[in-house]
Amino acid sequence: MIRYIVKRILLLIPVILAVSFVVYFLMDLAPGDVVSMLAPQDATPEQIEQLKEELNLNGTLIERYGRYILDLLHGDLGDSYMQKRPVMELFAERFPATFKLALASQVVALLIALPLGITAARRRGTLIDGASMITAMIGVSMPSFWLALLLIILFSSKLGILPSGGDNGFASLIMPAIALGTSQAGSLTRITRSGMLDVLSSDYLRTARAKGVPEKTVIRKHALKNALIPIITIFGSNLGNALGGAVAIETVFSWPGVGRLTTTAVNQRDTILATGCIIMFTLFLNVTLLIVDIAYAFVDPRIKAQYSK
Amino acid sequence: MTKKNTTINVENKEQYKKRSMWAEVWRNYKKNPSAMIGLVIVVALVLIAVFARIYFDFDTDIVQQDVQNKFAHPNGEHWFGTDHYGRDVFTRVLYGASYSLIVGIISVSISCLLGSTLGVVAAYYGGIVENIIMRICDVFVGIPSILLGVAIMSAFGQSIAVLMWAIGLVYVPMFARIARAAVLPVRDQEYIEAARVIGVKDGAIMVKHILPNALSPIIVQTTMGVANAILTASNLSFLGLGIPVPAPEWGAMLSESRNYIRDHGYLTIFPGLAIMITVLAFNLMGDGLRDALDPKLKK
Repeated sequence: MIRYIVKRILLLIPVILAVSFVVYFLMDLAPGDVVSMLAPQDATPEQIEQLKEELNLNGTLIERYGRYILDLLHGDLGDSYMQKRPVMELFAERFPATFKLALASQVVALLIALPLGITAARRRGTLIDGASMITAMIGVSMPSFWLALLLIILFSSKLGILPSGGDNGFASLIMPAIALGTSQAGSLTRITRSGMLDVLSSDYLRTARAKGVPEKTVIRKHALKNALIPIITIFGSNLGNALGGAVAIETVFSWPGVGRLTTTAVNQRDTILATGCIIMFTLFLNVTLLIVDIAYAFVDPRIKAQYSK
Repeated sequence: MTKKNTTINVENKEQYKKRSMWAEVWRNYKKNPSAMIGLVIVVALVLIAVFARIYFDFDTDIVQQDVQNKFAHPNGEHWFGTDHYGRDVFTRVLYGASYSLIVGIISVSISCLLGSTLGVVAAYYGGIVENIIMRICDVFVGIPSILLGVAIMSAFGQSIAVLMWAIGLVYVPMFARIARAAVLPVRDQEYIEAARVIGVKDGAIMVKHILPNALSPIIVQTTMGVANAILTASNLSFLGLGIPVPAPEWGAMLSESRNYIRDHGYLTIFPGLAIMITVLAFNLMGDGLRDALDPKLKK
C-alpha cells in the first residue's frame, strides 16, 4: 500500500512538468503579449527592453522556460506579471471559494442521486425506474451554465429571493451549488442504481430478509453500505471535475474563485499566473483522485488485499 | 411429419445465418424505446442542420441586424422572439444546429482515430512502446479538460477548426485507454501469432485481427463522446473562446443573452434547450448502443 502511494506521488512529477511545458508554450504561442499590454503606447525600444528585464522576460523561449522550471523545482511558482504578486498567494486567496463551491455541489449531487438511484434500483423495471433514469440522463445532458442562468431568472429576477452573484454567505452559495451539482448528480444516480442492483440480488441480502430483518434495515445497513463503494469512486472524480470545471459557473455568478482567476490570466496573457494556476488545479485533481483510491481500499478489504500483492 | 419438421428447421437455420452481427445489433437496438427516441432526434437534427444551411442565407437571415425590431418577445411571427440586434432567435437556433453537430462529430472523429490507433499500437507492441504511449496519456488525463481547452483556444485563436482540434486532442487519451483495454486480452492469442508466423504485416494484423475486438466499446464511446464534445464546445463558446460571434453557436448565444437576463429571459431559454436536447439524444443513442452491442452488460 505504502509503495503504491509513493509510486503515485512520484508519478505526479512528470505530470506537473508536462502541464507546465504544455501551458507555458501554448501561452507563448498566443497572439499578443504581456509587454505590449503593460508598456505605454509611445514606449521607446529602451523602455520596452527595460520592462522585459523587470519582468524577467528576456532571452529565448527555451531560456525563459528553463528559468521557470528551475524556480518551479524550488517550489516557486513566480510572480504574476499583471498583479505583481506571487502566484501562490493569489491562488491561496481564491482557492477556498472554489473548494467550498465544489464541496457544496457534491452535497447537492448526493442529495439528488442517492434517493433517486436507490428508489430506481428497488423498483427496477417499473415506471419509477424509467423516470429516474430519464431524469438522470437529462441532468447529465444539461449544460450547467445554462441551468445557472435559468436559476438566476427564476430566483433572482422573478422571485428576488436569492442573490445573483458574489460570495456572501450561505444564500449566495445555493444557486451555484445546484447548477454545478445537478450535472454531476446524473452519473452518480446511475452508479448508485447499478451498485444497488448488484447488492440487492446478493445472497447475504436474501439471508438477511429470510431471518426476518425489516426491509428498512436491510436497505440501510446491509445494502447501502456495499453499494457505496462504486459511489465513492465516481464521487472523487466528480469532485475533481467540479474543481476544474467550475470556470463557467464562477463566471456566471461572479464567484471569486480560481477558475475565473485562471481565465482572466489566460486572456491577459499572464503566462506565469495562468501556468501556475493550471499546475495547482492539476495537482489538486490528482491528489483528490489519489485520496479516493486510498479511501476505496479502506472501505473495501478486497481491494486492499490487491494492493499488498 | 418428420420430413416437414426438418425442412422447417433448415429454413430457420438459413434465416438465422443470414443475419449479420450488425443486423443483430439493430434488432436489439430497435427494441429499446429511449434509444430509438435518441436516434430519431439525431436524424431530425441532422436534417434541420442541412436544410437550415440550404434554406437560410447567412448574411441576410442569420446575422443581418434589424435594430428597430429588437427584443420582440416570442410571438406568432417570431416564435422564439428576437435578440438585441432584432435577429430572429428561432432561425438562429435552427442554423446553430450545424455548428454543434459539425464540431461534435469531427472533433470526436479526431480523438477516435488518434486515440484508437495509439491504444491498439500500445497493446500490440507492448513493452516500451506501450509504456511511453500510456504514460503520456496518463499525463494528459490529469489536466482539467476545460482549462486545457481554454489554453489551446487562446494560443491558436478562435475558429471552428481550432475548436475541433482543441476538443479532439483533449479526448485522445480516453480513447487510447479504452482501445488498449479492449484489445489487451487478444494480444497473446494463438491466431495473432499464427498470422504473424505466416507473414502477415504488423499493420494488417492490427487492423484486421486486433481492432475489431475493440469496436463495440469504441462505438459506444464515440457516440457518448459526441455528446461530451458538444457540451465542451458550447462551454468554451460561452466563455468567449469558441466559435466567434456573430455565428449563431448556441453557447455563444447564451453568453450574449446574459446581458439581458433581467428583462428578456426568453433569450436564455431556447439555445440552452437546443444544447440539452442534442446532448440528450446522443447520450440516449450511446446508452442504447451499449445495450445492443453487449446484452450481457444490460441491467
